[in-house]
Order: sequence, then C-alpha cells, then structure tokens
Amino acid sequence: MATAVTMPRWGMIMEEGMVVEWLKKEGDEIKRDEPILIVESEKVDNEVTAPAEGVLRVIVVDEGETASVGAVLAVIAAADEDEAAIKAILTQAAQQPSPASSSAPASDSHPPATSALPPSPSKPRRIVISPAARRLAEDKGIDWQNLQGSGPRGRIERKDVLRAIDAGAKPGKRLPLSPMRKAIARRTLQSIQAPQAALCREIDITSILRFRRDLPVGEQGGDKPPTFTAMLVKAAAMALEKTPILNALLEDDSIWLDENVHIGVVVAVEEGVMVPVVRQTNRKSLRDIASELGELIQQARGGRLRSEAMEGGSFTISNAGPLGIDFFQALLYPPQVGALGVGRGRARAVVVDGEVVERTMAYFCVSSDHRVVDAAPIGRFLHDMDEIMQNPDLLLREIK
Amino acid sequence: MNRRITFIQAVREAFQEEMRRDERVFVMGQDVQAGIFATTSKLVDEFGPARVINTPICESASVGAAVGAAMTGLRPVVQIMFGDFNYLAMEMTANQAGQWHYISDGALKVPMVIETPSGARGGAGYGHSQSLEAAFILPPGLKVAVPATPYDAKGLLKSAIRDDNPVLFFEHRRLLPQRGEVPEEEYLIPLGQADIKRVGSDVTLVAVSVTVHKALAAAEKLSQRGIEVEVIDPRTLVPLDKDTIFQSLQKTYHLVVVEEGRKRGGFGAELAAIAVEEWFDYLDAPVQRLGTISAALPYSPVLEAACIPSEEDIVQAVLRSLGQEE
Repeated sequence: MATAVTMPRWGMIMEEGMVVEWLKKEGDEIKRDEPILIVESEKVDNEVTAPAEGVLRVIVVDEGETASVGAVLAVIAAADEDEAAIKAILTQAAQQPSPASSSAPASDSHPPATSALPPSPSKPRRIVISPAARRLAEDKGIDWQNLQGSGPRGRIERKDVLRAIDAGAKPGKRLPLSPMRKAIARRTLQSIQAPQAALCREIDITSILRFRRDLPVGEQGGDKPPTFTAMLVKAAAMALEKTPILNALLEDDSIWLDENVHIGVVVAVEEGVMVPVVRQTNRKSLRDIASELGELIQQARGGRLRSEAMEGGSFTISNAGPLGIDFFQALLYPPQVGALGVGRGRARAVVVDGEVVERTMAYFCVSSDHRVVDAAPIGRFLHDMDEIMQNPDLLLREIK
Repeated sequence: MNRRITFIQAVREAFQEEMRRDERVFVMGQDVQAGIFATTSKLVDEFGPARVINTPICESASVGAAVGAAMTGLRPVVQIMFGDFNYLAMEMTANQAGQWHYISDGALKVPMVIETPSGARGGAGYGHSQSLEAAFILPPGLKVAVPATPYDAKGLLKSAIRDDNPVLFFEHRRLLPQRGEVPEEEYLIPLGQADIKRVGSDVTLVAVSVTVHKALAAAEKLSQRGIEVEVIDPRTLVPLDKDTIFQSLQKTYHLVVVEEGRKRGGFGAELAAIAVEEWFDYLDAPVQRLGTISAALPYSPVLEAACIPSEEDIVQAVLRSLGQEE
C-alpha cells in the first residue's frame, strides 16, 4: 500500500508550512514514526514522522518550498509497490493547490512514465553576481538581490550595479518576511480590527519589589526568586477571577467565559515575539507559575516552543519595563478581550499620608475590546491589581 | 633613444658588456662559438675559446658543469638551444641549480643563466617548438625571464647574469630577428618588474613573451570597437610582479592571460589562481586563459597555428571577458 506523507497542521492557525530539510532521500528505507523531514511553520520548526513503514519512493515538495496543510509531501510504499498506486497519490497531489507549486494537473491522456514525478516546482532562483559587482554593491549599500544581470546567463556585473546607482537605487537591503513575521503581521492586523481602548493606572510597586527581593531563596520559585513578570501573572490570575468579563473570548455573537485563567506572556525573541501561555494560572502557586513561565521563555528563545504552547490563552500580559517603556497600549489577541501592559518602574516623589516620599511607580494599562468590556470592570481589575501590589503576601495565599 | 637593433644584437650586446665587465662570466653550449641563433656569434673573437666553450650534445652535462662552475665562483651562461631540450637537463636545473643555495645553508650560490631559444616558428615540429617557461615556475629557486622586446632582452639578460640565483632566460625564436629601440648607454631591468606595454581601461591582458605582440595587435583591433585593453608584460614569471597586475585589475576588473606555453597547468593557471585567491573582489567576470592545447605540436605550419593562441583568439577572449562574445 502506498501512503502519502502530508503537511501536518500544528495548531489551528497553521495554514501552510515550509519543508526545511529532508532527513531521508528517495529510496531510503523508512520505519514507521521515524522522523523523515523538518517543517517550519509560522512559529516553530518541527519534525514530521513517517505515517507508515516502507521505502521513501517519491519526494514531491523539495527543501525550501512551501505547501498547504494536508498537501502531499512524499509517498512511502513498499519497495515492490506497483507504480499505479504511487501514481494515484501523485495525480491527486498535482491537483491540490499548493502555494509554491504552479504545476499543472497530471494529464490523463499522457500517463506519466515510470518516474511518475509531477513537474517539480521551480527552485528558488540562484542569483549570480560577479565578485567585483557584489563588493561594489555591498560597499554602496545596494540591494543586489533584486538587480537584473546583463552578463552571461544573467550574471550581475559591475555595470549593472553602477547603472542601479545612477538610477538612484536606494541604499539598503531587502529581507524576506520570515514565517514568524508573517504570523505577527496577520495577528496584529486582526487585532487592530477590534474596537479597543487602553485605560491606565499608575501603581506603586515599591512593596512588591521589596517583597520579591526579600523572598527567601529556595522557598519560592526554586533557586531564584520569581520574576516580576511571574508575579504579574499570579496577580492578574487572582484579579481576573474577580472580573471574569476580562477573562473572556468573543466568539461570533457570544462571549465565552472561561472557568480558568490562561495567561499568555509576550516574550521577545530574536526575530520577533512569541506568546507562550501559562495555563490554569488561577490554580497554580506563584512558584509553579514562575518555574513554568521560565521554562516556556527558555523554549521560546531557543526556538523550541511548540505551537500548542501558544494556544488557548484567555488573557495576555506584556511587561515592557525591561525595554525602558513607561506606558503603552498592549496588543489585544482576539478572540481575547483583555490584555495588560506594564511599563517600567521609576522612582517618583509621591504623597503618602500627607508626606512626600520616594516610591517606585509603574503604569499598568489594560487594553480591552469595547464590544465586550467597558471601563468599569477595567477600573475594578486595576484596583485589585493595585491592592495585590501593595499587599504582595496575597500572592502566597493558599490555592483554593 | 632611436637606435633600432634586433633582439639578437641586443642579447649579444648584453653578453659583450657583461663579459667585459666581469671576467668570471663565460658562455657554454652547443656550437656557441658559431652561434646557431647568432646570439653568441663572434663572442669567441673577443673573449677566446676559454670563455666561449662549445660542448658535446648533452644538455644534462652542460647544465651540470655550469652548476659546478657557478658553485665554485664563476658566472656561467649555458645555452640550451631549442628550449624543448631543457627537459634533458631537468635534474640539474630543478633539483641541483635551484636548490643548492638552500641545501648548503647559504654557503653556496649558483649564479648562472640558461639561455634558451624556444617556441613555435612555423613547422619545426614536436621537439623544436615548445614554450616551456611555465615548467620552470614549479621548481623552487629558479628565476624565469621571458623578454618580448630587444630592449627588455638586453636589460633582463644583464640582470640575470649579475643575479646570484639560477635564471632561465627564454628567447622566443620569432622574436630573434625583430628590431626595437635599444639605447647606446648601459641600463638594467630588474627581475620582477612588469611593463605596461599598452595603457587601457577595460580589460587587463597579461601576455607572455611572443604573445605580447599578438596582444598588442589584438588591442588595436579592439580599440576600434571602443574597447581599451591594458597589455601587461610580466617580463619575468618568477619573480612575478603581482602589484602591477593588481593595480591594473583594480581599474579594469577583467583579467585575460595569454601565453604560448600550454594552457593546462601553465602560467595562466597560476595567475588565475592568484586572482581568485587574492583579487577575488576585483573580478567582474571569469578569468580568461589562452595557451597552447595539450598535444604534440604538429609539423604542419597550418596545424601548428591552430594549436597556439592567435591574435583573433585574444580578441575573442577579451570579448568573452566583457560578455560581448560573438
């Protein structure tokens, strides 16, 4: 029996994936569940395992090419499997639309010969440029990737670069949009469509910072004290339990109120941001949240975060303090209706009990989808956050 | 400077001047007293048979004797007439002459010259037509001079005789009767100094020995099409004046090299390798190499001409370099 290897769907948002590397080549013996290729989706790289045992008979999608979820990537069959069975899968593959492939459907009147490969999708164009032209372009900051070469076989030569300079080519370079940036582009555009506003409250975080500093090492959060972000997550989980409308999802014409609080935390990584989700934060201790969040952040920075770990959030927190941001409107992640953005703490002269004292203050801003959340619940939520910041012992309260 | 003399006369003048100047200098080789190619003719009249020595037909013995004479303080010039026969003396040249200064930890010097008429001249056939200069850039310790004009020949030979290292001095036979301006007054040309034979801006054309003249003719043709070729004559292959070639390449970004020696493993191969190693960022097109095909040179002058690079071949190589091939 011939079995198709198809583009997997990792998480509901995945629509297509790029074949990064084939770990096996045509003709290799394959064991079931053995990794045979690596696929890059919008947020993660992962291995695809063999759905069946046999021989990797045909590779349909080459390295560097993109295919839709469900598209046939290769065919595994027994070494002596009849070509007809493989052909059947390939014919089907050729008919399914693929973003990278413009291959025509296999013609019935001219059945393919034994090597029943569909027309191979064109390889990415190799840009040929002379060393001297490349040097000149790089010295002048000209993006040579997009120049037309006039030399033999389209080779870009110095005169082509000089012509581009004369024609006023802007110095700079063009970067392709990475899958992650594509995903961010789509999510941010989706986000901006929600009618949203940010409401801010300046909160005194002196106590919680002192509390964090004074926490006995080892007792809470392993060998390091929990991060300020972990404390924000725990505090928000507690506050959200009292303001369930902020811990909601807007789905078509209904509002889903989740019984639990799943908080996504925005993590800066090299080429963008990732939002791993700490699940059921309302049922977890500060220590558990801190260690789980620490692990997720490490995975995100190491490119090892799985798509599932970024799904199912009901609220999002972004701590921009480390970036030196005072206050900002956090991005809303639809269908979520609320997101908290926390700016940096700064020493301020404030009046407490009629005296001017130095306190560390930070802006807490809640973005919300106004279709669902009005100002009052946000005010309540921020009030509760303020309470916890002033009384950090609450973070250590027994979990119900 | 308007005295025009032949290549032969220029070489003979170099011999005369150096033999008068330094009594340690002497000439040996087959029929050098008569002078088969006339470069040594009449020297015996002035310097006598003790300094102009006819030898038996045994190249290895002649070069071996010269190595011994050089080690013991004389400054011999051996003539190997027909450059092809240098292979018969290869052990003496490559393993002895070139390496004894090192082997002896500097105690010995081997100041000698091998003067060797060579190259294709229309039908002398396989044993009398080859340009083997590139075979001597491989062994260590040898210098290789490849003059293309009477002026260069005289200046280089005088320097070669005064040099404390063994020097191969190749005289292309087609050049021997050619005339060129040579001043009356004495001059020297240092070994390792290239000469820009024609200034141009579009392509750097490095030409060896006789091909300098073909290159200049090709450059004139190309000039009529608006292509200005810079013709560089390295004059010595070892030491090689890389600076002059590189300076030209920094202007033209295109390199063509032509030699009558064989293309495979030839001087052009060496220069192309240098270009890729050291001047990569200055190449706007692949280096074009021209040389003789890897075959025995035919007796038929027509076939011989088909084996060696012609003026038209050079024109086409320059056009290929510029991406304008026809």
